[in-house]
Amino acid sequence: MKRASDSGTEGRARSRQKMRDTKVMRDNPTRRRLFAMLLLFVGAALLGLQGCALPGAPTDRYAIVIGVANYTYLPGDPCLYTDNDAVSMAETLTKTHWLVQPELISPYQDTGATYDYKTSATGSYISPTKSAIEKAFGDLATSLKAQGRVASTILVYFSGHGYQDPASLIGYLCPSDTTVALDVSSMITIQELDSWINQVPATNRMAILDSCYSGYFVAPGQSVDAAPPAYLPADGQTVDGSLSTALANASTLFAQAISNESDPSILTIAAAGARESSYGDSSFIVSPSTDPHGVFTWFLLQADQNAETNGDKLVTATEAFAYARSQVLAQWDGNSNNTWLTFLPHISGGSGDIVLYDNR
Amino acid sequence: MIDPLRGSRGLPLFLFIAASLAALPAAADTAGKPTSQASMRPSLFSFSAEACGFGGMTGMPGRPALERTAYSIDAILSVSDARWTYFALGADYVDVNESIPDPTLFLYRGYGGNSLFVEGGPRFALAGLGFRPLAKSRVETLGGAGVAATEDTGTTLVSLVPFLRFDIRLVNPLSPFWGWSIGIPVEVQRRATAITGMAGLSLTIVVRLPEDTK
Repeated sequence: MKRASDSGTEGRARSRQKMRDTKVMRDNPTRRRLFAMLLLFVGAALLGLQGCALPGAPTDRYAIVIGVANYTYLPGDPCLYTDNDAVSMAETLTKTHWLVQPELISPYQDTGATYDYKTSATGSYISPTKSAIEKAFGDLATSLKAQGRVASTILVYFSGHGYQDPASLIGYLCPSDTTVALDVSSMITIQELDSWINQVPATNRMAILDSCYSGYFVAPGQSVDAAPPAYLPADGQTVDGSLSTALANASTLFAQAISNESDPSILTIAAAGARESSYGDSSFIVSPSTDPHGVFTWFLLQADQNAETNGDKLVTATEAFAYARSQVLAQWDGNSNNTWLTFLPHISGGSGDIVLYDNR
Repeated sequence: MIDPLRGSRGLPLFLFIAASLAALPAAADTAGKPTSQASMRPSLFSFSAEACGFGGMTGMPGRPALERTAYSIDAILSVSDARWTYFALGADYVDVNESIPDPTLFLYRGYGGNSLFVEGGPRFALAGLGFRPLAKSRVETLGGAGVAATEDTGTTLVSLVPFLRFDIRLVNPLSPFWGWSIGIPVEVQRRATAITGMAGLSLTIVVRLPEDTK
C-alpha cells in the first residue's frame, strides 16, 4: 500500500512537474513575443490591405473624341466604322464620369452608309478637320485658364486613318481634310498632337489612338517593348519573352533605370504598332452588334465591364489595354482567316497609370 | 482575362499564412526532443526558401506618394559562419501591385518579374532566445543590392529595376538539418524617377547542407 501510495505520490509529483514544464513552455516569453509579433504583422497586413480608402470621383476629367469616317478629299477611301467607334466611346466615357467636349465626327452616312451607324445623343457633330481639332484643344485650354483651373485629366480619343511615310517611316494621323496628294502637312504629327494636349492645363494626359501605324505615337519611356512594331507570327514576327528582352537590352535598360528621365507626359494607347494596320470588323465576328466597330475599340469598350480585377469598380488605362490586347490576340489574330492581318496594340511606358473607366 | 495572380492582393497574405502553418507544427513536433548542441554549429552553406509580403509607398517628382503592396518568393544560397554571412546569393520572383489612386485618379502601375540580389552582414547569437532545448537562435542582419527584370502588368513593356535590400532575420534552428526564420525585409527600388520603398514580413525555411553536420 505504502509502495502504491509512494508510487502515486511520485506519479502526482511527476505529473505536477510535467505540468510546470508545460506551463514553462507555454509561458516562454520568447515564444509569446514571437507569436505576438507574427499576429501583429498579419494584422497589420490585413489592415493595410483593407484600409486603403479610395478617393471620390473627380468632376473635371475632359475628353475630346474624334472619329473620321468620311474624308472630304478622299471620297473613295472612307475609314469604315470609326464614326461608330467615336459615338460609342463618347457614350462610355460620359457614363464613366468624363466631360465629353463637342464630338468631332465625320459620319460615313454623309456619303451613303452601307452599314448601320450610331448617332450621337446630341445629334450634332463638328467636322474633324485639322484646324477644328486644334481649335477644340485651344478652346478647352482657354476656358480652363480663364477660370484659373487645372483639370484632373485630359483625354483625346482618335479613330480614323493613319499614314506612314514610306521613306522616313514617320507616322501621322489623318483628319477629315487630309489632301488627295497625301501632303503630310495636312495631317497631324506627333509633335502637333503633343503640343495641343500639353497646352491644356491638366494633371494627367492620355491619348487613345485607333488608326494604322498609331504605335508611332507611343513613347516607351524607361522600358523596351517586347512586342514588335509589326506583329506577324506567320512571318516570324512574334513577342519576345521579358527575360530575353531584358538581357538583349540590358545596358540600355540599366542606363534608363538610373537616369532622371521622367515618364512620358502623355499616357498613350495605340491600336496597332508603328508599322502595321489596325482593322475594322466588317464580318461582325468580333463585334456582333448591328453597329460594327473597329476591332481594338470594340474590345476597349468591352473593357469597361470586363477588365476590372480587384473589385474597386475602377478600370485603369493599363487594365483596359491589357483586356483589349488579350482579346485582339485571341479573337482577331487567332482567327485563321486573319493570318496576314494580325496586329497588336501598344501602350506607352512609364511608372504612371490613369483610371480610364470609373464605374462607381 | 488578365492573369488573376498578377493583380491579386490576397496572395501575399495567403503565402504568409501557408508558410506559418507549415512552420509552426514542425516547431511543436521538435520541441522537447534533445538534439546535440555540437551539431548545431552555424552552417557554412545553407539554402533558404522565403516568402515575403510587403507594404510600401511609391513616389516621384511632381506626383504624390501612393500606397501599394507586393510579394516575392525567393531562393537564397548563403555562405556564413557564426559571426558573418559572407554572402547570400538570391533569385526571386517579385510582383508589385498597382498603387491606390490619388484624387485625380492617377496611380502607379503594377509590375513583376525575376530578380537577382547579393547580400551580406553580421550574425549574432542570442542566448535564451532558442526553442528549448535546441541551439541558440541567431539574428542575421543583411544588406545588399540587386536588379529585377520586370514587365509592367498586362503589357509587354520590359524594364530593369535596381534595388537596395536590407533584412533582419531571427533564425530558429529546429534540427541540424533545417530551421525557420522570420524577418523584416526592406527594399528600395528605383525606376527612373520613381522611387519605391517597401517593408514587410518574410517567412523562411532554411535547409542546412551536409557540411554542417560533420
